[in-house]
Amino acid sequence: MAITIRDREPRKRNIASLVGGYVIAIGCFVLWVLCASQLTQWPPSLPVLAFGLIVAAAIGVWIRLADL
Amino acid sequence: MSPRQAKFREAYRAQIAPAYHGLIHVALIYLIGGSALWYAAQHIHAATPAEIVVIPVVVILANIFEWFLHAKVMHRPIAGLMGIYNRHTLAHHQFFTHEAPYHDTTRDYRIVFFPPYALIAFLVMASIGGAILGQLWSANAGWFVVCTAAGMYMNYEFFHWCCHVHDDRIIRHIPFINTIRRHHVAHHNTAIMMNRNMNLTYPFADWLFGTSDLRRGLLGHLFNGYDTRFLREDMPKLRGGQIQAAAAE
Repeated sequence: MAITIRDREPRKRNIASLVGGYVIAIGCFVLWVLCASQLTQWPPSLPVLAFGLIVAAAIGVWIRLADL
Repeated sequence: MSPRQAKFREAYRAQIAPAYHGLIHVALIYLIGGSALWYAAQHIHAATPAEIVVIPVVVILANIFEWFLHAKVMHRPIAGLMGIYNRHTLAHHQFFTHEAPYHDTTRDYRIVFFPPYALIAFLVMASIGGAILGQLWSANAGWFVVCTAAGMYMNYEFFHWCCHVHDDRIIRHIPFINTIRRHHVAHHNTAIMMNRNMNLTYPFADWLFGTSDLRRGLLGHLFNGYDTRFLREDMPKLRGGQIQAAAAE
């Protein structure tokens, strides 16, 4: 079985982390809204939604920067 | 560790982005999984015994799914899914071999844990299944599907981490974990990695489909621990006998 060893190359972000960043951000925001609605009310208040949006976006950006 | 593996590790680590942090990676997985499990559990009320049976059924289905994904996707170059094959067979299996299967720092978590969006994909699949079951039969059953699937995913990640952690003073005595640790370290032998020991949680599907490196019954498989007395003798050999030695170290 052929196994290749990657040589050291300039760091380049993978497209998967871009798609993954969006997926994670959307997924986290949906989860945030669901959990917040369970803990408070449906629909959650605007500040709660806004904070969730910021958290979800931050996680999505981190996924991209970390090239995960 | 062979010079080849050491060189691969050095090259891989050099490509990990500076912004990556292993503990954030793990925290994200468990926050997302834990939140999903908690949210689904909030919707379960007065479950009947029949509805509770959904839990072991989903555990078994998740075990078979884990086996299928590992054996038929992660170890097979399939058009459209090459990223998964490259990340697992060509990277994870070069970074960790049966001779040196342990990670050194939390930055190595990059190649131990799945990216968090894999969990999102898994939760979406489980939610669709749960919604269908909820419509066809019972809402409680549907929520049990989501709870169990989220729990199994976190179980998978924890057991896999246990397989690649250096210090086994405690986990070598914990049932199931000691079993999967020997099972998975043996899987990292390139002589058998393409078709043996594909389970990462409990070696049920490997027993069911005859893809284990052990020759014993189901209970023996599940509680085998580090025991090497029941290893099959018709296994392909690579640097003979070192599977057992590495697993038992």
